[in-house]
Amino acid sequence: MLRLLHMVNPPAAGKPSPPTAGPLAALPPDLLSVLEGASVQHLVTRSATLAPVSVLGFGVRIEPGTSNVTVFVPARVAPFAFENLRDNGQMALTAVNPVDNRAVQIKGVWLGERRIDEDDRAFLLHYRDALSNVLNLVGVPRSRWRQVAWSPTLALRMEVREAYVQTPGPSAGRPCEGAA
Amino acid sequence: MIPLESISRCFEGVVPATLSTCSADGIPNISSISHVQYVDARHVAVSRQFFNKTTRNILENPQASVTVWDPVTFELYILTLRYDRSETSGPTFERMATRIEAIASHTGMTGIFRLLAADVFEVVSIYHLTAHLNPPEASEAPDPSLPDMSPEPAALPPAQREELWVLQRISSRMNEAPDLEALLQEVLDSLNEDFGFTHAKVLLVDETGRRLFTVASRGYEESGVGSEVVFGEGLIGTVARDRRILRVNQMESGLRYGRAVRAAVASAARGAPLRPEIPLPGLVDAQSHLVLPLLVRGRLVGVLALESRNPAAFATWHEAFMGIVADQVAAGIERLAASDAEDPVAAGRRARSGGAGSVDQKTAPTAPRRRAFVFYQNDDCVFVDGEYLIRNVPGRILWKLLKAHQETGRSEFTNRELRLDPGLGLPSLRDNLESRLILLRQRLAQKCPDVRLPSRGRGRFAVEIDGELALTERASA
Repeated sequence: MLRLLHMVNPPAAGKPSPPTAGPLAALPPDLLSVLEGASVQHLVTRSATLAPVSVLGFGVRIEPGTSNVTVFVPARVAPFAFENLRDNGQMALTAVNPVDNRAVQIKGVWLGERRIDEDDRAFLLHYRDALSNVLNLVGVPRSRWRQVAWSPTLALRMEVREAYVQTPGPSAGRPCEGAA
Repeated sequence: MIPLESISRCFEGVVPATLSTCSADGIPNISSISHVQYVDARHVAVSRQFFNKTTRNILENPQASVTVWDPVTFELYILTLRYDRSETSGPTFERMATRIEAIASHTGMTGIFRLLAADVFEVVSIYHLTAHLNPPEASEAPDPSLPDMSPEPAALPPAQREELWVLQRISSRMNEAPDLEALLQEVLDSLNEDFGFTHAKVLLVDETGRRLFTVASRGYEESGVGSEVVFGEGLIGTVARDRRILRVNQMESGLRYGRAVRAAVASAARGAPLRPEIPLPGLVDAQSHLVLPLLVRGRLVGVLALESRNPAAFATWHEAFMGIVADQVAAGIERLAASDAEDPVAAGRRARSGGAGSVDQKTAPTAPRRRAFVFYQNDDCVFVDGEYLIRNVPGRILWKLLKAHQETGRSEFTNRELRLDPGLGLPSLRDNLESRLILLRQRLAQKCPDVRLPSRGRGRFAVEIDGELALTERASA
């Protein structure tokens, strides 16, 4: 049992301190852990004609002391998002824990792309392993998820302007309010 | 465009699908959805349980997209959609409502989480995305020291290219069945041998018209014969109440969704406590279900329930295909139950080939023993040697037979005299007597094999008893 718990919640690589600014500071701890943890993530952008499209996300890192995050996206599918971001910069991201369906959505604007450093690579490896373990618990063969091309990955910076509860139920869609 | 039907298995994948929309002022929105409903070759529907941002957005801006995962290959499909309409009645709405209500019922959430509308979208285009996947040989192998909780399936579901032959075989087997008991055996055998559905059960409507009882099953450690399901409860009860086919793949995914709602409601609840969950009968680790109502001229005679550990065992086409099978089974049950259709030739053939009567003979103990039967008048319940045996109509029938045998020595009876006995409480129309006798025989074979009710030809049967019986009647327990 301890080994399984370790698989689902592995020790974080350089775990950041809780956010203190912007809408992220209002996220309850359980949803903050979904956003930063082993969750299935999708990033949505929209075209000039308001047509939305989503791409797979590969993890979120919160920039300490700001309301900004870095969203990692596989380079092979990023062209879908890039064209839209260059047009209007609007983006939103949903993160879902596949075991219990706890979910959160953040919305904001694109701040640009940044280089991936060694810290990011450690984070991405950590995220990949943790998500493989979580998905394995709900029926996804480990080898299958390993087939997903984790590299190369792009780092998109986002200013978070809104955060919403998305866990299914009557509270779904409510803005996150109150201090963390 | 990729045929929509060809990707229907992606519509309830274990990785949640997403629905993306955008408001009129250009703010995108994305949410996870547990299920995408195939409507027709050009349309899909998404359930709306709560009025939310997605709803507001599609009313402002009809453009949307859904991203779904193939649960087997992990390829992605991005469906570009245009909102068409919202339905609050009709076949699509009813099918989605049944599925949601079944999950709500299963998680003790009846009436709290329900379908408000089925939002129907036209599929404008489908983009098949594989760029995010490495070829298998280029993939890094998983850490072998970690346990694999969900290993790769040994084989993919077989291609169903021979479905017409399979249909012909089950039809032929049903047609040759001499009686209801044989028909049910043939159906379950064929589902196992011809269709590959190893876990199945048939439930029939009891005399109250509000409950089902299990009359035959295959593939389970315990047969469950005699177990009951109330209309409206759980997957099977919901199908019985609504008389519509229910297919739930990725059952755990659906239940996780239901439990998430339950947890959210429970944490905010101020009122009455939620009902406890109903244990799912059958496989404890079932991943998918296909439950079919057995209907004759719109009247429910029973339910055929299939389940599997394979999360993708039942595809969309199975609903239509198994719907035909269910219609055949229902017609067969109606025909044989109504006619007591067992002629002496068929009875003899059955005895030679090992029907229920001869099985009883094989399992009968060699040394006679004394059996203590108790009949409780308050609930028509029969116990044998302190263990529950049967109740209601079959309980009353058994008690009548045992008393007659003990008091008069009679060992031959007819269905007709049972039908004419007002004390048994059989309805005057469609009394289901044949199915009650099957249930009684099977319960006796399980719990008390030294008492048997073998058939003696059309509408006749015997009471055979090894050893002694002590009969006691009590007002209540």
